[in-house]
Amino acid sequence: MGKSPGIAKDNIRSDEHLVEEAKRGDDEAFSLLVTRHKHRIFRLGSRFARNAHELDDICQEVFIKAYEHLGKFRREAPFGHWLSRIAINVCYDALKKARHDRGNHLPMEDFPDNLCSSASEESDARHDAYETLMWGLARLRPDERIVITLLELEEKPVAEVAELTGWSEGNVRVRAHRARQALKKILEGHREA
Amino acid sequence: MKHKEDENLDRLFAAARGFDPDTAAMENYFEKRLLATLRERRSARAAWLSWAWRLIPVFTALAVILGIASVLMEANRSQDIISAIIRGQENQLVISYLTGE
Repeated sequence: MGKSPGIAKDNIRSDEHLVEEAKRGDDEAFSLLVTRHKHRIFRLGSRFARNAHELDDICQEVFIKAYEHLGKFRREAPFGHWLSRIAINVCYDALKKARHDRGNHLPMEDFPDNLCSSASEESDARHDAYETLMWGLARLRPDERIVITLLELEEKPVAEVAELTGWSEGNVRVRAHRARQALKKILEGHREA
Repeated sequence: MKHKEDENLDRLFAAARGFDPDTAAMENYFEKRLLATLRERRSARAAWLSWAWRLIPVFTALAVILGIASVLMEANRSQDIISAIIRGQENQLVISYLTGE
C-alpha cells in the first residue's frame, strides 16, 4: 500500500538536490528535473515559437544550456527561476534569428498555426483572441515582444521581468510602452484592411 | 482617460490570458530525446579531445623549431648591427682623411 520507494524518493528530492546529483553525472536526476519543469518551459516557449518544430528546438536548447551551465547555478534563487532566465534568453535569440531570416518582413497572411488549434475545449472567443494577439505580437521587435508577453500574458511584475531579461526596470517600462503603441497600430491597421 | 484602442488591447489580452496552448503531445518522450541529444554532444566532445591530445607533440616540435630559428635570426641580426657600426666608423675615417680634418 502507498507509494513505491522510487516515487516517494523522487518526491522528497528537492530541485537543488537533483542539481547536485546531475552535476555528478546522474542523468536520471537531470531527467527528473526536466520532467518537473518542462511544462512551464513549453508553455513559455509556445508564446514565441512559430510552429511545433521551433518550439521543440527552443525547449531542447533551454535544457541543454541548463545542463551545460549547472555549475553556474547558485542557490540564491529557485532552480525554476534560473531556468526561466535561460528560457527567456533562448526565446529572445530565436526571435532575433527569425526576424533576421525573414528580413524584417512578415506577410499579412502568415499566422502562427498548429499550436492553438489542438485545445478543443477552449472557448472560441479566447482562442480567437489568442490567435489575433499572436498574429500582432509576431510583428513586434523581439525585445518589445518579450517584454509585453511577460507583462501582459504571463502577468509578471516589472521587477520580475527586469530580472528575467537582465534589463533595468526603466528599460522594461519603455519597451512595454513602445510595444503597446506598436501593437495598437498593427491591430488597428489590420482591422481597417 | 484611456483611449478606445487601449481598451480594445486590454480586452484582447484579458481574453487571451485564459487560453493555454496544448503542448502535451510535444512533451511526450521529451526527456528521452533530450538525453539522447546530450549523450551525442558528450561523445562528439570526447572525440574532439582525443584528437587534440594527438596534436600536442606536433605543436611542441613546432614551438621548439620556431624558438631555435628566432634565436639564430637574433644572432645574425646582432652581427649585422656590429658590421653596420664598423662600416659607419670606417666611412667617417675616409671622409675625415679626404677632407683633411
